[in-house]
Amino acid sequence: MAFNIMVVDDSETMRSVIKKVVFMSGIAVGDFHEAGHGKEALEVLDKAWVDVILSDINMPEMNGIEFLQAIKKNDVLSHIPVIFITTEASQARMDEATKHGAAGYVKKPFMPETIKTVLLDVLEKAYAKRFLENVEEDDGGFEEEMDF
Amino acid sequence: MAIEIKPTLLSTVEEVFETMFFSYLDLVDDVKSLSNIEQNVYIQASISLSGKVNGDVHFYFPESLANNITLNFLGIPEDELDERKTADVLGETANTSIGSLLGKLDPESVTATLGIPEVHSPAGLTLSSVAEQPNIMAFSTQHGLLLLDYGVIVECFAE
Repeated sequence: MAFNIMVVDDSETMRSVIKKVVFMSGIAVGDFHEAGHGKEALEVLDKAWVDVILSDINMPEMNGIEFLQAIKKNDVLSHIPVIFITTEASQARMDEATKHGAAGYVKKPFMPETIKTVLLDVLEKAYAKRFLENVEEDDGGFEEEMDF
Repeated sequence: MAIEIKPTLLSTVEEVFETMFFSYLDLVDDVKSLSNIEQNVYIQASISLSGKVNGDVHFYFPESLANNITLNFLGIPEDELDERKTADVLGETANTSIGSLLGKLDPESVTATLGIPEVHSPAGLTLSSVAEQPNIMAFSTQHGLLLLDYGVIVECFAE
């Protein structure tokens, strides 16, 4: 069974870039969801099953940390791993995110390979058996295929 | 303070442009000496800081540079370029640059926090007036001069 993935970022452009990276990472992607901030993401999670979330921190309405806290308080959603892709590069912010249960983080600006590495690592830890069935072997050509 | 602002800002902005856009910037040493600052259409991307001092950091992109980095970042053909995509990429550039800078200058996140970036083309903006501000960094690019007004960062991290 492929992985359902959601990207949460107030920039539609960043969502499309991250989506492109995810689809080129060799992971079998099922449904791909997008949301512009934490509140919108919670609405998506009300209706759809998501296996992993890639989220910005600095967003209007509900920021990434508040979103993570809301997920962790919800028994149905609390198992979903959340990876932050963020400029909030300070160690204090990352420590806070980890304290609230973030599964990993990628600092902006990022190389596409970095997102792939963190995403694979998080999926492998969270879904070991499905991971082996749904991730293609690395052909080493990932970066050459990216056109940004 | 332990970390100097200007060299840290310079290396941070250079890293962002190289990583996001494969684009290299040349620092212009003396902004005020530029007598022929282009009068192109400029797009302003601003991001607010709040904390010890409240204010905005401003980036001024020549339209040609704005379009070029948007095409590079998104890997799209020119006919798919539009104002929204360009604004998104410029906002993301400001957000990523200043967010990364704060991570270096303020690792405990006690001095300032970032707002949401805003992008617009101010009517009547002339770069000569921007260049007269006290804390301006200018970069020469093949698509014109990129200016960065970082006065609020200097105020925020002044001892």
